[in-house]
Amino acid sequence: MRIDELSDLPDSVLTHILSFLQTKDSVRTSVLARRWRYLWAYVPTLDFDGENKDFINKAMLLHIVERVNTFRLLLDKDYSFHDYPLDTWTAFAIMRRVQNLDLCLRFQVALPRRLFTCKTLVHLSLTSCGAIPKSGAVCLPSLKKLHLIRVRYEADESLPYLISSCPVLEELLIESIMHLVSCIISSPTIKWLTVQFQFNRYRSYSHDYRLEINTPALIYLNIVDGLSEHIESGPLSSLTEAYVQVHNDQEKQDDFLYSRSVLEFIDRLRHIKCLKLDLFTDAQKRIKRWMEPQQAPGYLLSRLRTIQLFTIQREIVRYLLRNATVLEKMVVVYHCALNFEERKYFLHEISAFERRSEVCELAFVNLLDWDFDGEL
Amino acid sequence: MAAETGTPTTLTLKSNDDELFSVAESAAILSVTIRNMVEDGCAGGVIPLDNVDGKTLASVITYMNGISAIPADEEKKKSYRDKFLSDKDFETLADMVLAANYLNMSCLMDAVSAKIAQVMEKKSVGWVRRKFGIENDYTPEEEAAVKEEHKWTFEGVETDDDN
Repeated sequence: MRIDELSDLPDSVLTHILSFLQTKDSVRTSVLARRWRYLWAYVPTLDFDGENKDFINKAMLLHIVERVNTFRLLLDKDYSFHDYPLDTWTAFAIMRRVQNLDLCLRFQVALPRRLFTCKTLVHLSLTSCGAIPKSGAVCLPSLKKLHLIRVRYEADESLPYLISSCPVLEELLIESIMHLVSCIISSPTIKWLTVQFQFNRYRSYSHDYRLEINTPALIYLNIVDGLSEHIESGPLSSLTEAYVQVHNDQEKQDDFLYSRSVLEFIDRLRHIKCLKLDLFTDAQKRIKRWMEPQQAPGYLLSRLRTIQLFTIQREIVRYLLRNATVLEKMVVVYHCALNFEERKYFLHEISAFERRSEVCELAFVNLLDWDFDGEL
Repeated sequence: MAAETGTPTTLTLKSNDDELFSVAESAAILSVTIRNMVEDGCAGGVIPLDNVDGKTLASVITYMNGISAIPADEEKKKSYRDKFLSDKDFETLADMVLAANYLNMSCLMDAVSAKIAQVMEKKSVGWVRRKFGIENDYTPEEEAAVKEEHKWTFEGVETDDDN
């Protein structure tokens, strides 16, 4: 069969194509031709981006299909949403066995509680909403992917409570912890973890920030943490790839404890093959009381082949060179604020460090010349 | 088997215009339709694919080989898909989406569907009709009525003369 026009495709294919459009665009195809009149109402996706309440209600009333695979709602910042019947809309999606739910609420409407007991949800993405409950019924038995972006929590316990209610969770992304002080991520099933905590100057800094990861099945880790003074992790024996940016610029309560917590964390990465470690703080601020384990275990970093290291902390360079047994390449990217004399001295010092791996090549690069998109 | 002998198993696929193609089993089972045939033991000889022509099948196989060579990295897979579809015209895309539907290959189906949908995004009714050769079979009165009924969806759309 030769396809000359879009209308020749079968209904199931056309509704699949329409499912990639926002609902507004999809409804408008009714006007194309008779064939298209009611097609949109069979599309298993409802995708609203800034439409008003009447529009959303109308689309839901006219929507025929018994399943809604994807429900996406992004509130426009110009509206006032206090009268949004979000609870009813969520109920509508849940009754139609929604699998992917994506809400961006700009903190205008509270999250309906019924969301947290949806049995069919596979992917949940929450942006600028709240709050995640700390108690009560929370059970998401099918959830595999959870994205929490600028989300509010009732309390520190909310996050571990939510995670423990997702028995098959595989991917977790947390961006900005808002009012949390300690962030505890504990799950036997998570494989991909991305955590991004940047320091926000609108909030006051607390020495109590801590990040705790207990995820033995992890294979991919991406951490940007400019907050925690304490990082702790359980075994990460399946982890092969890690991007770690730990650069807490704040005056720490105890440099000594901080450096130990960072090193102990790195020690947990012992099975990885490729590591990008960014410890840049303010160019002049080095950790003064650096502490490292006296006896590194024999298997420490035993598979690590490449490291990109963003630091001016020579102790960490020395530690990694001395302990990584099969290292092939270490690239030390130094801060552009170092003057000529400081660079010379830094380079001179690190090239003299003992290298456990004889084949290890050492490169020394200015941050300004660094190609961030380049392959490791 | 493949693991024991060290040589990858190859399947032979036949298009509806009788062209034969060899493809590694590991790549071909991206198609759930083919995977089911393999699992049911029907893949010993030639696998006939009655709904796909040779030209489309060749293209699908290029995709199968390309995407299965990329390790589990969604970003890289996505950029491969974008590149693979970038030079395809609508006719080819329509053939591919039908083939992907028949072969039950969700990743290709989604990529092609998204690509076609992207072309329709925020476009006027007249523009979409012209672009995809859709014949307007409404009477002028009917069309006016349907338009009135869907007035609520026409905000922020690119306009043209016969919107």
